Amino acid sequence: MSALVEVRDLVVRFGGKRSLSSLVTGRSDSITAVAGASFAMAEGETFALVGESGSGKTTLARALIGLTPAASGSVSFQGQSTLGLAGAALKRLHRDIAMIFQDPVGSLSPRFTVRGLLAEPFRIHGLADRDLDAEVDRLLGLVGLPRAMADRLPHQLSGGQARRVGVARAIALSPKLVIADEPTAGLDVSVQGEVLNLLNDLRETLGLSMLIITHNLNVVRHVADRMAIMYLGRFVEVGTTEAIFAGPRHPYGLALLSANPEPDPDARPNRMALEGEVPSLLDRPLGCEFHGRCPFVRERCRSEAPAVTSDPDGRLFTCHYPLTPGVISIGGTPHVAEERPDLR
Amino acid sequence: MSEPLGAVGLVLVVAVVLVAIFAGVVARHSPIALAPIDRFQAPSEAHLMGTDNLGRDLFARVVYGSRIALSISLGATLLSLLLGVTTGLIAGYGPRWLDNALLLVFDALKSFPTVMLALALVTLVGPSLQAVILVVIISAAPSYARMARTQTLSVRHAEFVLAERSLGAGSGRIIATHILPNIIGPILIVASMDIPVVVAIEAGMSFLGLGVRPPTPSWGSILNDGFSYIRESPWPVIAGGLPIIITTLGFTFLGEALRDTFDPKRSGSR
Amino acid sequence: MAAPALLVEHLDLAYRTEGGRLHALRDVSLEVAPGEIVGIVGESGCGKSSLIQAILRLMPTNARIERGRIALAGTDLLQLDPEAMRKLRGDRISVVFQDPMTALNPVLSIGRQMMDIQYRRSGGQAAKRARAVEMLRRVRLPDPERRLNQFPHEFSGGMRQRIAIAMALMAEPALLIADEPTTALDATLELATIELLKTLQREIGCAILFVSHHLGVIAELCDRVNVMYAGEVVETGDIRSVFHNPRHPYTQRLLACDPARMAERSRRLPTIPGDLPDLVNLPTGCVFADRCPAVFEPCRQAPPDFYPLAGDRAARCYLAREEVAP
Repeated sequence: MSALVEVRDLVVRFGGKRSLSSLVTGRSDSITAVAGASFAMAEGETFALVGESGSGKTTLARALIGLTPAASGSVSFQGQSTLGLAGAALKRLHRDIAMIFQDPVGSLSPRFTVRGLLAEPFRIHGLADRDLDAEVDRLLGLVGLPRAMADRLPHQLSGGQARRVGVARAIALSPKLVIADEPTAGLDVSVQGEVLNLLNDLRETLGLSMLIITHNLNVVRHVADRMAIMYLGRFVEVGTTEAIFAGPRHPYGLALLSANPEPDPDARPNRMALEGEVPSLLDRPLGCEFHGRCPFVRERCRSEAPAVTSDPDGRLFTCHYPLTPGVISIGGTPHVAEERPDLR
Repeated sequence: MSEPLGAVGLVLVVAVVLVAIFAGVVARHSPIALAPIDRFQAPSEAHLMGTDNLGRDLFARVVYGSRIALSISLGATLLSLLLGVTTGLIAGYGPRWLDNALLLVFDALKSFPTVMLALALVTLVGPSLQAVILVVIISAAPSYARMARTQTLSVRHAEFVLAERSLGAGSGRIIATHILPNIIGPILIVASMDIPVVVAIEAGMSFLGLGVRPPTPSWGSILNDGFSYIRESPWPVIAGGLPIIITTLGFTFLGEALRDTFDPKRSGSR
Repeated sequence: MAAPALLVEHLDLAYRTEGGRLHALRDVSLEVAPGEIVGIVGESGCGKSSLIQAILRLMPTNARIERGRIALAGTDLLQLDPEAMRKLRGDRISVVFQDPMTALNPVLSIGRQMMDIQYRRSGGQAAKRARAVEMLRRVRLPDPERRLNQFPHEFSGGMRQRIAIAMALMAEPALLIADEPTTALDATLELATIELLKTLQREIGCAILFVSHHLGVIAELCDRVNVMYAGEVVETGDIRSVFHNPRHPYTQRLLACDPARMAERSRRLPTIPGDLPDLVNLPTGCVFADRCPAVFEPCRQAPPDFYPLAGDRAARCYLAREEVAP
């Protein structure tokens, strides 16, 4: 099974201005938004990147599509490297990978009608000789919008409608991979399902592969086959959605899963509350970067960064003392799993 | 409401334009024919606005003066916009070093006092309409460039720009179709408000002998001549001032109406 | 029996717009007892912002309260003059907004701001400063003595929200209105902030009106809940009854749509199809009729009343009327 996307040790940095103070302190102001990410996506798969603010998930996606330059590492799409592409090759990449942006209305050029927005991809790639009106109608139909929408301006659309236009634009040139950045952000609960159902349907009818970026675990559960949890620019756990939901190995994964209150007043608070906040990217903790907030922290965690461990079932995690599903009892003091030398 | 005012503005501007085009027909006398015997006459059937200190028909001078006024104000402003907005867009969207270089140029030009600039240019080009236009461009273009640059800087990271980049749009396309239309509105308003200022620049230069040379009629020079002889007759001042007021109002109203049409949130709101 | 911390009765609010009169709130009634945490659940367009603005008497100029009563611990707010109302704000009634920067001035240190808002209290600067430090400690801000001199931009979003909460609760108000205070925060932070609010509320004993569209958080925090749709309260009751046994079809559908509620992974997520009605040209019948799965004859003819049900519950639905004991 050949991978559609393969990412190896990707590093993305921002800033790095040389200022007088940085010369003195020896610290440059650059932040490492993505600190060495590796994963692979198969064709037809829906993969979710999960994380909170500062986790680097949006930066990673933008590096994949060439909007942000990478400092090091490799990204290959259908076997070809995508980093450092320029000109015609980069343009070709943009036909194969499309992105749906977080702000439904803000990601649509304010003076273009829906028709103009949907025709842009064709015009950009020199396909303006096609019957653009027909293409626009086709796309509107695919996302369930009435033809009358075509003459509206972005500020005249509701959040849900604008989101659909974004989806239609992304699939205009039949890309192989669609990256959806927080597809449910800004949408009411009663409308979120529409977008997710739409993406699922399109996945099936058009044979798309999808990379979904979200902090909403509820969404992940229903749309993604596999997922990766990011913290401070690194992957802390990667695996199938089902397996991770059943039992995360990394304590941060457990924290995320428990930070999801069920709308049930009687639900037992099965939770692991985290202390503190996400550390600043300018001041990365030593050792395991999660050690400051981890309830299971031990001496080793403070000084030694854990290596990536892989499970026989394909689960990857970076933790010295991973949780063992089934052993943990939540709602009381969780038990820490013992170190598993057999996995190293 | 800006709608009826915009219409008024349009009417005034169109009137001025038509007068300029059909000056020969509208003015019944020559603007430069001297008749010292008839100096300082009040408005009458023969001379609709009276005569100036040399007996020239003021109405004819005003009518022909509209040509100068329009060619300077529209021509110079248009050229300033073209130059300024283009360089501003490039400075805002392009690489850092280009931005820094262009900023140096903008700020250097802006720091020249207009009068010194006028003097310097006139020694190069000689006193003329062209000199006035050049002075206007050099004074105005850097301001427009700065405005365009600032707006471009704030828009370039907007999500819709990122979205178009992700579709594969090149810089040229992004600047021309996605950035320019979204920033031009406020700049056009400022430009339309600048038009009367341009007329003042022309008047000032003509006063210093750096602009249009007599006997070519320009509203600014009519006004200036009128000030010298205001004790003899108020009519030259009125004749010079009135068209400036009308044109200023016209362009201002038009500019405000333009701004409303350029704001997509106001048009077609349903 | 003490007067309720907040009492809203039959409130009608409309905006004068270019397109006509927009009926933003219709016959809204709710009650918050002293020390109680009451939630308002609603999606965009339900009128919760208008309601908060009405309670605070901070409405835009084109808004008109056409009918109804708002009382804070017995005081009729609609009868107060602007100066008297101003005295209540920040003292007897406080607000925490979604964006903490609504409450924080970016050019003043937080210490300065926290001391400024104590202007009603007597005492010297030292005492006020001490109170500010104490409040920051209560919201679990590390190193409060030092951080008092820092500026808002030096704090993360979560910390800023905690500072905003500290500022809101420092005067120990009778009522705290929290308008989507955790919506902009990450999930783990949201949880911590909710825990904080619970703790503080127990200590201070204020009543809280908690507005959110996040059902899970409402379930965690609130004693009672009001569900709003398109400017009306469609259901009210204690939290357990409403969430376990919702009586209004909108509440039922809303709960069904929440993906956190679904135990199994599902391919097709439920939604509520359709759009909000036009609040300028309201439909003749029930405002939810067009989107209601249980719509029947009377629904389109006239809007239903707010029918009381057992145990302090009520629902604005003809189906609920059938159940009221004669």
